[in-house]
Amino acid sequence: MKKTKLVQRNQVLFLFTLPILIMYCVFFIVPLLMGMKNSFTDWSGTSADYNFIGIQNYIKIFQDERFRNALVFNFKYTFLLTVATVVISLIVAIVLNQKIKARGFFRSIYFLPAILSLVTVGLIWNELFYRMIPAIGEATGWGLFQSSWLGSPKLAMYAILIVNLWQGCATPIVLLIAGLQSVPVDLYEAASIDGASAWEKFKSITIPYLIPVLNMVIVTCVKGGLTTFDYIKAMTDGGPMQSTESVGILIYNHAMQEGKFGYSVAESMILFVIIALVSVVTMRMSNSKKVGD
Amino acid sequence: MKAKKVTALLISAVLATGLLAGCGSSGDSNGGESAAGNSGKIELEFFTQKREAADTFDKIIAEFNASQDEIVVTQNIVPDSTSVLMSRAATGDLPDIIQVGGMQDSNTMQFMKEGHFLDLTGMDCLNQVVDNYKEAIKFKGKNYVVPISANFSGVYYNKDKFEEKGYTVPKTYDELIALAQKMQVDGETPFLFPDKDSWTLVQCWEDNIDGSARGDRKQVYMDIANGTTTFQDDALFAETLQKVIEIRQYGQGDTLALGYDQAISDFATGKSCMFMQGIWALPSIKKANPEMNIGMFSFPSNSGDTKVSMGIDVNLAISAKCANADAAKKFVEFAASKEMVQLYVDNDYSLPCMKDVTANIPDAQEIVDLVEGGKGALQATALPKAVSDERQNTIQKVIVPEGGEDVNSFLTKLSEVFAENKDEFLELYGE
Repeated sequence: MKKTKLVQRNQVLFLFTLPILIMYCVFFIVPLLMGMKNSFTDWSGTSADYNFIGIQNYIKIFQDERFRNALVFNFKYTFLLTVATVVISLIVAIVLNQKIKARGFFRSIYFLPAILSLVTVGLIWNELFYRMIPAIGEATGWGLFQSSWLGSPKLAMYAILIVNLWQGCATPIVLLIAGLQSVPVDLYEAASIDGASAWEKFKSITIPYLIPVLNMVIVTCVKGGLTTFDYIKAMTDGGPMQSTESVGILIYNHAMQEGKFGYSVAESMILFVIIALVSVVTMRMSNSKKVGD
Repeated sequence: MKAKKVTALLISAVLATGLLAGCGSSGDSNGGESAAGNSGKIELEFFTQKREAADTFDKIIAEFNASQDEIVVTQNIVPDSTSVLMSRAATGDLPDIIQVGGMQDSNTMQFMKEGHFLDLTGMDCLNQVVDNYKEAIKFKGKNYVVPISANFSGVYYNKDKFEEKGYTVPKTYDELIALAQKMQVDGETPFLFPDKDSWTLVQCWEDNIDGSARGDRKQVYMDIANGTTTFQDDALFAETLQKVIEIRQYGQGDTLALGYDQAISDFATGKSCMFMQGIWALPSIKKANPEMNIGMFSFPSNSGDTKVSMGIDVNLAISAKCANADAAKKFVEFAASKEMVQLYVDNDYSLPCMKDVTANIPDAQEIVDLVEGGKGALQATALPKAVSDERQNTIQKVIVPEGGEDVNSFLTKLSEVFAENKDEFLELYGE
């Protein structure tokens, strides 16, 4: 009797998930499969006919220096973005969690960048980099500030990173503040009685409680870093001299501007596999340190 | 609950009527023939890609619709028109009449190559085309497009600054360099280079400097495709690219950091004396500073025998699958008539492609005079896509002082890519 009820309940629950499942299939799985088919063709994106060329696109991609450079850029960018986001958000969150004056005001200030549209942010910083950096250089005489960072192949990536962090840290800060407030105060008290230092308390109490939040922050950062597109599009469009060409930008350029649709789909398939692998690894790594396990 | 449903229904109804009303009124503005659909008239779709031209085409269409009572033309204008047109071509649903770019535009060439356009050879209006352009607009000996207007590149200059400091428009390249040096001594910035957007850099080389010295590029591209010369062996390409690098020292400095829009607002607010761009930048410059006095000259060549590098800006084509080809041809004849082309160029700061029409661009009078004196070179040859992509992707390397590439290796790479794709080129332009 009890078992049939459970089955019935599961069936009802399944019915509830059905609409979203169908939508997921129609709008995600089906295009994915269609894309997979396209990646084995030489379709230009507009022509009426195309040829199946097997795995030639994939072979070419693995020999393509431009793709390799883009991939290296992606990994470098993702690593820096993730580390910087975690460190900066954690520090700001801890400071904003103290009993300081005008705490609410500061919390809103730090969240402000998140509500701006990305393109607006890109345009604002474009102007800042172009007009302000040289002005700083003139005033101080520092070589690093002589010219806009966006115009330098060596510094453009860091310029984009700064903008990304400026806007991208806002949400993690809010999440981490919430996480910090969930840590039971009595644990800190107990630790103090046992003579633990501030660092020991942070390491053994705060961090384990924050792991679920950090986990999410890291995974979204890694995914965001690997698929990064919009900041670059708005600020350098892959330039100067292709020094900020991420895989996302490369895929877009190949598909929309250079008429190599099949090739670009093959590139996105490779990126898809890479992101899946990296996400699994990061989740495994950070999950093992969670409280209660 | 019920009340909510009723409200929802009401709102939907209001919205729907709003939409219908919207359609009706837009139909009215297109010539007051809103009831055309049910009176048995032929309806044609006119697809505009050039957004800035939409208002002028509205006027032309209104006059056409009023001039006869068999055909009704409606203008269709969408965002991201290139991709819309591409996907409609892929599904065999091209609009009846299409406004396309010039023959130097690889998208236009692709459509012609794939047979999407109707053969228009023998139409009356084609006899009216300026004699110099007649051959250039043919594709494999046949006409698929009717040209309306042409654009051109040149050097904008700030007239007020020139008058105030007593500068004169340079006639030769050496004079230009001397002028730029004098400006620097006076503490002015001679040029603004928006090299962050690499298309402006390509255009600076290809049209402004190379085009004004060489004129038509078709022959040299043919020679490269046939293997009789290369980019690096052709004397002019290396020389003009060298000039691109040389004049950078008279720029604002840090040229890779400046974008096109920023450069326009900087030029309009007097941050430099000169600015190299196409005529399409003029409306934006005027918008940024309506009071500014602007002049424009063609980039001077060594000898002073300067030409003007032009491209067709607006072409009209008819879909090969158009069911009412005769009606569509009637409209094209009308739009390409003397009066209508005059109306068009008067509103668009462009040069007419038809005889007996006068260009009306006071801000670029020097260039208009050159073109009317027969110095206009209409560029009608598109590079293979792989070559132009390679060029646009890597040209910035040529102008950076360190870690870049020298002129010769850049040109050699272009030649290599061209050699790989020469069949594509010869198929389009070969005899």
